[in-house]
Amino acid sequence: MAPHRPCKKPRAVKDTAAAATDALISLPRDVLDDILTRLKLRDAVRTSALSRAWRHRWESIPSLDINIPWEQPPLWAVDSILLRCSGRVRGFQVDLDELSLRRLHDWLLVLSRRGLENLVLRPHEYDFFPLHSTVFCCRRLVSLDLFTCEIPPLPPGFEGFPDLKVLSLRNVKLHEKGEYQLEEIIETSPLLEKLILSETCIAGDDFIEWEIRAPNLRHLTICSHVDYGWNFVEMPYLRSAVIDFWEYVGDRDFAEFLAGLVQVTKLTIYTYAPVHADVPQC
Amino acid sequence: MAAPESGDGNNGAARMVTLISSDNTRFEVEAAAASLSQTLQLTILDGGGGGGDGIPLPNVDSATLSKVLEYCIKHAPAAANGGAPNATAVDRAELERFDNEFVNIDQSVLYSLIMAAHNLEIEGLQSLVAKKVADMIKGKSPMEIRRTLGFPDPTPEEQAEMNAHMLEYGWAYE
Repeated sequence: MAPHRPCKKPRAVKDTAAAATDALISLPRDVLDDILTRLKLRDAVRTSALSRAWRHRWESIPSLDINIPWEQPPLWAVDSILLRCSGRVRGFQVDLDELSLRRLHDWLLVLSRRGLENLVLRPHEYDFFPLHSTVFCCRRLVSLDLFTCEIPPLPPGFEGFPDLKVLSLRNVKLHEKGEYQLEEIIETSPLLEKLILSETCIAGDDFIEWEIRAPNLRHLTICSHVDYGWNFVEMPYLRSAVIDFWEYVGDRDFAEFLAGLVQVTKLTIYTYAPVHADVPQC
Repeated sequence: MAAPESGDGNNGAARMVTLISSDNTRFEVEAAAASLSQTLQLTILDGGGGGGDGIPLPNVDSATLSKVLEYCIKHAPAAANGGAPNATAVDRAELERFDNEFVNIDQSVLYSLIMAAHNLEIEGLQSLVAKKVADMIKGKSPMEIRRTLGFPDPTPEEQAEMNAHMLEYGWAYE
């Protein structure tokens, strides 16, 4: 940080311009917060360049949305933001490279205490990354979007996501008996409106049937080349569904499958394999 | 927000109130419009501002107050309908057009308006002016922000500090 030296030069020439510039920084705190919160974090940081008075102003934004573009190594950016800003973090969207993956656990710890609502994590390269169970401590999550990662078991005392509306797990791995974990997460997220399970791989050879109970679910996508034993039980408000039953139809009751979806107004079914099942008339 | 819908029983004529700016200009305006200000609303509900009395606003000069009232008068009908759930798309588009033009003003006026909206607690106007300032900053380089906001060009010393900051926060300047 630059040292502050008392300014002894006369300032008359700059007075008019200075008055204009001071007008903005002199606005009441909540007014300025309102303005800065409307900016992307990147633009808010750029206000540092306006003057010394502005240098650290962005750091006291009460609520942040951290979204680091993928071209940038997120490590320095995220560290400097989380260390400098004490405000709530509404959103966190980062493409994780190798260095930042080493910091992810620490970041999640901080984020879980900062009221995080929207979390999007994906690796920079196409390699599965291990996720820490701290993610399940982010109780205020409204939207959770995980891509290409290994999902850890639920921590003891997991209480669910009371505000979660969107859960998207794409190309993720779950440990053995992960079916029960999915069941529990969905069941303890009573506000869930959108569920996407795409290429969700569960370890182990046992075929475990499990139930999707989501009283507020509006949309469901299940794409998997293996039947992971899901059963639709309670989805009274479901309006649209995208189902890939690549290997599903052969072994299970297709009529029962459709019966779980009678409330849907838009249904997309597709498969890579030829379907030989008799499709009943509805 | 429930604004008084009619006058004091005199044939449904709109009730008027008087507001007095810091430079002693009197503005007569419908109570429903002035009530967009949370600060004024209680006084008006209590019957203040009518007759020969006026409500003094020592923090708002006449030029700014006139501008504020222009906003309130335009937005009062929609506000009286509880945010106008029945408003047509045409009505909404007209209000949007009005808003856009309304904040197309000199920065000094804009800052006075920000302070007035804040002091009078006019929610819609507070958002409108905050959005306007944010739009002036969005997507610009530091130099463009400085020029847009009327900052003088940086001294060499300031420029060196700016450069150091940009180096430290490279991700924000991509």
